[in-house]
Amino acid sequence: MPYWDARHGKPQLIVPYSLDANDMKMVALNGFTEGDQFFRYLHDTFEQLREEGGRMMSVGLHGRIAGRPARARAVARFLDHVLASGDAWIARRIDIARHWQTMHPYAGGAA
Amino acid sequence: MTSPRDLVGYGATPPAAQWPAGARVAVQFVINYEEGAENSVLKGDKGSEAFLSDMVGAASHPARAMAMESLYEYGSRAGFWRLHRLFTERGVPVTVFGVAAALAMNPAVIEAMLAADWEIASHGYRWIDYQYVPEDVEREHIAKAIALHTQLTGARPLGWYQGRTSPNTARLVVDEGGFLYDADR
Repeated sequence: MPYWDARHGKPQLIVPYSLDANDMKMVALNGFTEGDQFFRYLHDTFEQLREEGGRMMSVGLHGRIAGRPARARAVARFLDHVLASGDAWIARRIDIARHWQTMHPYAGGAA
Repeated sequence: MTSPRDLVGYGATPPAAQWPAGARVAVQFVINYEEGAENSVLKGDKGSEAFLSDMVGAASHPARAMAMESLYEYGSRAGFWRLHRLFTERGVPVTVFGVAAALAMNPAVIEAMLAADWEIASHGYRWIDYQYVPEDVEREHIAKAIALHTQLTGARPLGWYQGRTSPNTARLVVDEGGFLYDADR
């Protein structure tokens, strides 16, 4: 989830990126070897966060990795799953940042 | 005990995000655009790229590595466009983490990103490891990333993601002062 970080002077809004739900795991030791595994990981991350409520899911992709045909198919299936859920806000990172800045302005302290 | 690290965070009581329209979860897709800005002797680097390709555990060579170059080039030549089709066909918004030196080598992708109303955040000047890059060089690269990004896309980036950070990156980004958000943590 986004948070404010005041450790380096002026408070900086952090909208965290993650190497968790990320196609990097398709090209890592102990990573995913096929699209179905990647899809299942994205799906289960989404469903868990949806159940918890109020969370943000960051999905990281690369043209040279997820842009390969078999992997792109997994991304397409996940997109269709999220769109069908009906209760997800799919947003650009800047839109999430602006939402956080408005709804949760910096209020002092470390976070 | 004082430490520059924060091991506490929101802990047991994260705030209620209050996403728009009562959404249960916010989903944010990033397409990284790095191809062409990776390590290369063509750019004066010590060796070829070794990181984040289908050749897991590849070595860095003090010369051009043609297979590695080709794996990267697939991303900008074909892979990007496949992802672009998947997202635009469904009208799903995207944030691009664009490395300035990579965007500069392929104007067509910039045009497509802007036409799709995607956000282009800065993914730094080069797609290299900044871990041991001297602070003054990294500061200069951040400034060059912003200047080139602005020239290429028509607007300065409001989001930042270096990726392969140094211990100085977070502070240098705050010092720059113009980023609405940082995604490096």
